[in-house]
Amino acid sequence: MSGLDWFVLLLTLAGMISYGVYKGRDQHGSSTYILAGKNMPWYVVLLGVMATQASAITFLSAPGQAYTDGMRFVQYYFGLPIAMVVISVTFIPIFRKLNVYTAYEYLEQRFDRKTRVLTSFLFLLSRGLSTGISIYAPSIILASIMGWNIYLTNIITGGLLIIYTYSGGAKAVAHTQKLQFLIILSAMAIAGYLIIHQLPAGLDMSDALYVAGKSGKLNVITTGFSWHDKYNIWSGLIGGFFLALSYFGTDQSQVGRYLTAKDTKDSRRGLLMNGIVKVPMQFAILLMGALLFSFYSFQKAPLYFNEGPYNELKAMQPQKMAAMESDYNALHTQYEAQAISIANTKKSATPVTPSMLSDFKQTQQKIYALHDTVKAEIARNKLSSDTSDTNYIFLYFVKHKLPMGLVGLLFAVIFLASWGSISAAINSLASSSLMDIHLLSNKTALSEKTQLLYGRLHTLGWGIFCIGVAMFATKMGSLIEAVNILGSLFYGTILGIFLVAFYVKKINGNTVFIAALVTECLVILIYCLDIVSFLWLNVIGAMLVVLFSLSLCNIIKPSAEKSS
Amino acid sequence: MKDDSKYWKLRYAAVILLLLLQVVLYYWFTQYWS
Repeated sequence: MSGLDWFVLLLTLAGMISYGVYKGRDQHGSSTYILAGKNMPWYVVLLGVMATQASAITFLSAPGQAYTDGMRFVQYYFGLPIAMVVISVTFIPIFRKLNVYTAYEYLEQRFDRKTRVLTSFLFLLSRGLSTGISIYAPSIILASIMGWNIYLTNIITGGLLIIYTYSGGAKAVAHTQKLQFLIILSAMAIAGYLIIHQLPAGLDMSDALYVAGKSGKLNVITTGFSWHDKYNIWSGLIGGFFLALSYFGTDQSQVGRYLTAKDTKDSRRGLLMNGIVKVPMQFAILLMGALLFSFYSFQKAPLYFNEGPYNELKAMQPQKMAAMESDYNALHTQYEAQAISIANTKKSATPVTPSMLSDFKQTQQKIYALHDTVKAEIARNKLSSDTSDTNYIFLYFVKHKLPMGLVGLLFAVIFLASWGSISAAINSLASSSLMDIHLLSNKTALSEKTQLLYGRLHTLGWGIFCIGVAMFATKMGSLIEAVNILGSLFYGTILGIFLVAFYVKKINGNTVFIAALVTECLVILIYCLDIVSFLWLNVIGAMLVVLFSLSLCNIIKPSAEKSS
Repeated sequence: MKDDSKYWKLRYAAVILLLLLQVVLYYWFTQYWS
């Protein structure tokens, strides 16, 4: 990166920390620290909810996903708008009426204390570990492509945001998220424009779309059904609905955002607007990936996008890699000519012949085979713990094709996207561990000042824990997927508990507690047997808790005392 | 408090309708470029 890029990057990050500390001043107690004094307007709630969901990986992986697998990933979000409506109708009025600090506090009022503590514990476990991974995941990408120290990158990605999250709590999180998300969207829009602008002379966006479409990258809607297929319209609508309902309705990192709204109306407006803009935003990010596919079909693309380990491999095996690069260059020249001739058929309004298309795809397969050989060699020589090259495609474009200054801004965007979701997660972890566990066992009434101090200490504690997980993940690369899947294993059960709480009035605390434990064991079993894709685990978990609760409600008697 | 439940129902319906409209548009987009 040039000096100007470094200046832009450091200025943006330092500016964001200062802004967060400034906006989060005037803290009086737990109400301002956890709920930002409940005075946020709907658009701050909207940007907060979006910034919490969209981590750095969203902006790095999604274009790569479209580049390799096409745009069908967008279907994963189709259930989200329906979930926003259900949460607005049922969840928000109850949370607001009971004036709760956390979603789990409601469960004590509805069932009993042990159900609140169990649900909160499941949340703390899964969110704590997954936040650590969401620090590590972008850090490894940035460190690898830029040659930075991974431990230092972990500190920048997950550590600096603690400064304003610690001092300003939910208020600082909400205001920084608003600014972060506006910067992210503007920078991504500029990057999208530059992909189109830098297409070779004589080729425009419709040519790029044509080639991407003929290569199967614009497969937004896929109607085939399979229990193992992650992204089709059915798993997107049904599985995506349950996932969004669990995430936005029961995960404190999201509930904590819309509870900061000044009233029920603004909580609802923020969520409904999220339901309207989320799918198009995801479509736009994926479209960038599909356009990048055409961009690198019309002109030279690297054999391997993750430059760090690739350069190491070239240094280790110079002759073998030189021969492979020479084969690759010849293949890519042929591939470019084929891509341009397909684009030209559109201009001359003649249909692409099946042989043209099959030749193009054949050359593509040969390129993929070479790429897989490099990938296998990198893995065999243990040159990188991250062997997924798709995450590096967008950053490669940013690093090599964007003008000076903008490169620094795009790298800042990656950090800001991380900060947006991690700060909300740490704030919610601190809220839940403080209100659902720590203060429950503290019988004496605490002053506002003491509650604020405890809130800050919990924030600091969770910040250190999450960075610790990220550092540990650096050493234990293979555990990452297991931790990522952890959320899916618990989400369905947590949602089931809330669904019973909201919709089945006759169920008592003991019944739902046992139903949740049995369901959790079954969900883990289903996952271990690999019966369905992970999106369906939420549906199954939620349904099983409801079914077991209904079946057991006449057998299990309520406790003598509601809160024990 | 003013009863504005009718307006909220309209908003909910609008969100679902917009989703359906998008699904139709994306389906057309997929077919058009394939």
